[in-house]
Amino acid sequence: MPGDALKDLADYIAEEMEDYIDGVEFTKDELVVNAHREAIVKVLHFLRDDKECKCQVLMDVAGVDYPERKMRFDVVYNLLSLKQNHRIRVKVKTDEATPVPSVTGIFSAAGWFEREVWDMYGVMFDGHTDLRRILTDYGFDGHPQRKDFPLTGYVELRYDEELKRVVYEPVQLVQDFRVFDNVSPWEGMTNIQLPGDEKGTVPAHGWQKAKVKI
Amino acid sequence: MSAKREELDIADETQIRPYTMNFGPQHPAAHGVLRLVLEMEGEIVERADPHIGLLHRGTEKLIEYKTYMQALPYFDRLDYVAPMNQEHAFALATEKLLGITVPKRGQYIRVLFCELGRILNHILNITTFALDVGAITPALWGFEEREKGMEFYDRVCARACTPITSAPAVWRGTCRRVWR
Repeated sequence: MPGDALKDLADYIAEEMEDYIDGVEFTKDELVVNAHREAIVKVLHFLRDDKECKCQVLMDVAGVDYPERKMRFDVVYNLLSLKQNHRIRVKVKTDEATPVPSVTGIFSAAGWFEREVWDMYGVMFDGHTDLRRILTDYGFDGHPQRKDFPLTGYVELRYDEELKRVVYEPVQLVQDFRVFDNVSPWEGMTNIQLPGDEKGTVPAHGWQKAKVKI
Repeated sequence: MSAKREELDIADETQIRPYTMNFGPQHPAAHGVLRLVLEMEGEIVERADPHIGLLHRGTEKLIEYKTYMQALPYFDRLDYVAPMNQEHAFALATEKLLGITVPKRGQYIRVLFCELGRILNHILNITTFALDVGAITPALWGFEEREKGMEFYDRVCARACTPITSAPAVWRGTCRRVWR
């Protein structure tokens, strides 16, 4: 259960920021503030400077992708108050086309964090002075942490002995992606029942008889 | 900067033009791969543009396709000199999501090993920093002390670098022999 102090803080924020947020909630005992996208600067400014909140530290800015939603991205700001000893998470919703106001004006740490969210999810930040990619390769195409981006990516690298340089080629996989859910230690590897396999599901065609004694 | 130039008493005709210099991604003075684009004013770095993505491996993307237990080894690799601390963070997050409380004994063991990891990490950090600025001895002495701590890691999981021990809801290591 969240502590009384955090509950009071939640009520206080809900009251003070009424016009700028959709509401406050607790997920796993952690305080989450669902802010309006266009008011994010206002909300974070309040959380930073208000004497009850005093969240001077912006720990992290993260993106989340929910492809089934119309506003598919969440941008999540994790705040820490060293003075009041609490953490607050602020969330806003956006999509590929709608920019989120940059908070670099009030938290200088947001500069790289917003670059990362742009790089990984393609969320645009309005007012960021240097919104370049930060982690991916030079000339990279796409936003790798979107759910519709394949795990393997689209290109692979190879050193070309003739050209004497690294070349990009469309990715070619020599092996299928294998999923082991560890229901049984041998699952997917054999259709012969091995010791420890009893708890796994029986294949549709039944177990084959082992040729050698196991 | 102009004050500094006066101090150095550089004549007008030898005025140094600021220029851009590349550092890395491979450089003997850098630990690992880091590229810096530096704007220099003589020997003074006026501005640095770090290109930090060269070590980025997309851990988050990779573990999207894994179960919680299979995701664990990725966290060892995030900080290979204090791997159990990284595992601990992941284990705590997973347990919070699943609503699991770990037995007291497990919690104590985890914290003990986190502290051990922290100490080992600091010894490596401080002594190799001394190495960078020209002192060789602290690294030699520090690594001997580290070796003593690594012994505990070794006993608890039979290896030192990627223990895979502090799994969600479980402590997979053996702890009995450590406390002889």
